[in-house]
Amino acid sequence: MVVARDVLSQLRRGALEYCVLALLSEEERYGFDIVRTLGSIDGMVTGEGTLYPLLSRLKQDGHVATTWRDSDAGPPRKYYALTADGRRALADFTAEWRRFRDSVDSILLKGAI
Amino acid sequence: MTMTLHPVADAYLRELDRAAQAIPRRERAELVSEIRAHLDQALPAEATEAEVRNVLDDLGLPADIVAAARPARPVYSDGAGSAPRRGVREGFALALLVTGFPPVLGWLVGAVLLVVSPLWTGRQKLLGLLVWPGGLVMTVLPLSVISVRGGAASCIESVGPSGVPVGCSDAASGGLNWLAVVAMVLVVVLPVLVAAYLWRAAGKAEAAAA
Repeated sequence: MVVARDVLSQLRRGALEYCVLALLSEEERYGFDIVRTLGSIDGMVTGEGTLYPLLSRLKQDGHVATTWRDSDAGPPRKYYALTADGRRALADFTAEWRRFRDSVDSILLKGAI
Repeated sequence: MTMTLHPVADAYLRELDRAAQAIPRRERAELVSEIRAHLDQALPAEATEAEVRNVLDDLGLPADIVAAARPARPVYSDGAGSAPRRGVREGFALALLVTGFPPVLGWLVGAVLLVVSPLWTGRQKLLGLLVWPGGLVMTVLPLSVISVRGGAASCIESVGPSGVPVGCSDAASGGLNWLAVVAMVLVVVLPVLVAAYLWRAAGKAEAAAA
């Protein structure tokens, strides 16, 4: 069980950053919005707080860009938007992920029968 | 910020700031202010302690948040992005530094291993290098030679005029040996204590990075 949990947390960590990119593919969002959206999906995030370091890493990697915008309620918010690099990385991952998922499924499900 | 935080949330931010000491200062300040902004947005103006605790639970432990910030650090780029572990390198570093065997080479290799390990801070590395320049081989050997020679010399001096030994001068040789024993104990115990401390420090650094 410990091994399974380790593997899952590695998988989750790896896939999470692309889920963030996917979330931004339609529109820009501010940090709290991203964190709450992903946090509400079952099994996606173990601690919401860990998403903030992830967002700043995505920015360092050039996959997202940030802009401060005034908000109606409270202080200005930092908005995250997908860059061209980020869009390319997301497309690559999406293709690879489908291939990987189908391969794993084909073996796992065959094993179950 | 726009509102004063609940004391429980405030304590959480302080703990986060403390946990984030190991990451670069600019990143640390940004991280703390992001989490502070998160709390501002997640909590109503007059939040109850239960509301605060639920939001904090969702955020996760400060140590976990800091751990998520770490892979970006260049220090850890060697292990293909994985966190460093205390292992053979650290064990060998301490063993070679303490023993200094084989003479000169053993200590030098240990020193290099100590310096390249990402698990020790600069101060800890300095401590490791300063305590035994040369290792035990270089300090214990000369000391034992001195104590043996000292004992022999006092015996020779007390050989009587007729050439028959009249016994060693107990006061002289005993005093010298006693000093040598104290020095040897210090020279052996001190490095072992420092090695144990460094081993524990590496374990803590590993746990913090995992």
